[in-house]
Amino acid sequence: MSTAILRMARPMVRRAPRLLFLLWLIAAGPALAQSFPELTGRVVDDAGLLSASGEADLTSRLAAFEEATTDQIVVVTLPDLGGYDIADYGFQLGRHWGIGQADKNNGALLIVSRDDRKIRIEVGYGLEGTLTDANSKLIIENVIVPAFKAGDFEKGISDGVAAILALLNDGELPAEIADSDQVSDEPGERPDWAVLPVLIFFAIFIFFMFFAGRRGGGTGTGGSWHSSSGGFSGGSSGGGFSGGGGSFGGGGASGRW
Amino acid sequence: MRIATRLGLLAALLLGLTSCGINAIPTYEEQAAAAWSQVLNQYKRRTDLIPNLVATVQGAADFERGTLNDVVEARAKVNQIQLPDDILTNPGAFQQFEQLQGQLGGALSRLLVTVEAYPQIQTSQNFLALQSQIEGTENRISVARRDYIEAVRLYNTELKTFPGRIWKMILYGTAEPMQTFTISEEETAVPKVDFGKSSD
Repeated sequence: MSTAILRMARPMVRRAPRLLFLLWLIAAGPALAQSFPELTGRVVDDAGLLSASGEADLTSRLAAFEEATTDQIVVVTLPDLGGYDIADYGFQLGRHWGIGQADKNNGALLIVSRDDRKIRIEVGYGLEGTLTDANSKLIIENVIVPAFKAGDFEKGISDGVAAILALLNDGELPAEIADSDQVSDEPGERPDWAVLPVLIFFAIFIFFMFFAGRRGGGTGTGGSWHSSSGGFSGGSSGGGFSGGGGSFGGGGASGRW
Repeated sequence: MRIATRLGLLAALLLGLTSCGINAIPTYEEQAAAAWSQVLNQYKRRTDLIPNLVATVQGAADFERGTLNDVVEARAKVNQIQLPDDILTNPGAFQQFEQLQGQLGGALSRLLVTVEAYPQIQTSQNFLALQSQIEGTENRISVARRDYIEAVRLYNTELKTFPGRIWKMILYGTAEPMQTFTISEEETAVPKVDFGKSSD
C-alpha cells in the first residue's frame, strides 16, 4: 500500500520544478494580462508617426529637461488601444513603466493612439499642480489637435511637448495657448497635494513591489525592489533610459482629432 | 556568553517572524487605509468642484432646473454624511456612503449631458476648464477606487489565508475584513460625455 503511494509520488517529485514554474506562470498571469509596449526610450513611436530626426530631436529635448528638473516626460504613439479607454490605459502604462522619480512622481506621458484618433496627456501625482487637467486640455485642443487635423503629426507632437515643457518650466502656459484669462487652475489644490503623494506612495510602492517582484523573475535576479524596477527599463537603446518608479493617479486630460 | 547566544537566538527568531508575515496584516491594513483616504480625497475634490459648475451653468437663462437641482441636492446629502470611524468594516455605513456618492455621480453626469443642448455654456472657456477638471476628477475617482479595491483584496486575503489566519488568531484578533466597492464604476456614473466633440 505504502509503496504504491511512494511509486505514485516519485514522478510528482520529479515534476515539481515544472509544476512550480506552471504555478509561477499562473500567478504572474494577471500582471501580464494587459500588454504594454516596451519602454525603448523617451520617445516610443510604435505607430510610426515621427521621422528619425524628429524622434532624435524630441529625445534630446526630453533628456535635457530631465537633466535640469528631474521631471520625466515620455512620448508614446500607439497603433491602437486594443479597446481600452485611453485614460484607463494611460495611468496603467505610466505605472507599468514607472515614469517619474519614485520620490516625486514627477512623470508625464503624451499618448497618441493613431487608429482611435485619440490623444492623452497623462500626469503623474507630482506634476498635477502645474500640469493641471485644464492646462493639459488646453495644450491638446489648442496645440496638438490643430496640427493633427492638418495631418502634421510631428509638428503636433513636437509643439505639444514644447508647450508641456514650457508650462512645467514657467508654471504657466504661454499666453498664445491659454488665450483666455478665465481659464484658471483649480484653486487651493496644491496644499492638499503636497502631502498626498507621500501618503499614497507607500501604497503604490508595495503594490508595485508585489507585481514587479514577480515579473522581475524574468531578469534572472528575482526578489529585490531594485532589480525589479530595473526590469522596466528599455535596456540598451535610448541611452539606457528607464523609469524612475513614479506613479500616476489619473490626472491629465484627453482629446481627439 | 550565554546571554549573547540567547539574544542572538531571539534576534534570529524575530527576524524569522518578520519574514513569515507577522507584519503583513498591519501593513496591508495601513495600505488599505491610505487607499481609502485617497478615495475620500477624490470624492471631496468632486464635491468641491460642483458650486463652481452650478454657478457657471446657472448663468445661462432658461437652463433646465431639474437636473441642476438634482446635483445640488445630491451634493448636500453627500456633505451631510457623518462617516463613522469604523466605516471600512461597517457594511451599512459603507454602502450608504457609496450609494450617496453614486447618486451624486449620476446627477452630475446627467447635468453634463443636459449642457450639450446649450451651446452658449458649452463653448465658454470657463465651462471648458471646469469640464476638463470634472472629467479628470472622475478619472481619479475611478483610479482611487480601483487601488482601494486592490488594497482591500490583499488585506482580506491575508486575513483569510495561511499564515495570516494564524497571526490574526494570535495577535490581531480585532482585525476584520474590510468593505469594498460593489456597485460597478459605470453605475456610479463616470460621465461618458465625449468632451472631444465640441472641437469637431
